[in-house]
Amino acid sequence: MNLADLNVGTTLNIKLNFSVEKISEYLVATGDGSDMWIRESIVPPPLVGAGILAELMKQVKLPANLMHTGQEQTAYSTVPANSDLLASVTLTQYSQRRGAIIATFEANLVDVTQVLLFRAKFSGLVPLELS
Amino acid sequence: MDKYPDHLPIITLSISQALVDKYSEASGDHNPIHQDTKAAYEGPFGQPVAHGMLVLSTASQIMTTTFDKQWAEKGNLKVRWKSPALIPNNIHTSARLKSASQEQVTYEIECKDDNDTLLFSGTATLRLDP
Repeated sequence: MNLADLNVGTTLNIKLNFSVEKISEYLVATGDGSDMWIRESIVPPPLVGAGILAELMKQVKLPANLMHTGQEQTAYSTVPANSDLLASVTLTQYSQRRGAIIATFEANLVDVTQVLLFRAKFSGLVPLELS
Repeated sequence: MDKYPDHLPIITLSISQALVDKYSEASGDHNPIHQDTKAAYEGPFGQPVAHGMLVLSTASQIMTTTFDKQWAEKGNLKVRWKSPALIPNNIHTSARLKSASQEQVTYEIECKDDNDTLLFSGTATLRLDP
């Protein structure tokens, strides 16, 4: 489906599980030298956000000229590696302003017991003259 | 206020196409605008750019350096992107103490490249134990 096919309020469910190997790959790719993530089997918060975004892009075809304009993320607890997680991602804004479409997705990540671990908000802009 | 440093150690990351390709694999974000592809050169930035989330990872690193696991438990990061990180590039992320109370400590975060172009700015807030 395309971004334009979604209505505001539409929620997509995304299953996630971050392996220790995936965390290691991520640490190398970001130059993060902290050994805490592997030692404690914790998913770095930006990887949680990136994982949600990557899975969202598999479900929703985002415009090629979409620019990621803002990001907010809040940790409520550590996100453990090798755990089944569920992100509920809701389109909370889709509006046209000043020659651009502005879209915002908000995500809540819970564990298998439904405990909230992490929240993220992704904002993007699509210039209309290029879309 | 003395409990928290006014400035946190700067995080520098050298962004190359090879690093961005590694990040694409690690994150699962294979958007062609981040790769050396025709789509990137015809895209909104006219050339490949680094993933915003790759650039943003430096903000989390800067907070983890000082606050360790607490950041992963009680951290809030809020940023606006100002410019894309063109490839290749060196980026430098800094944090300056904005406020501190018994409830939380907040740093102003910004990331610039070697040309002093502002890539993102925002705040990083750590909730504290009561």
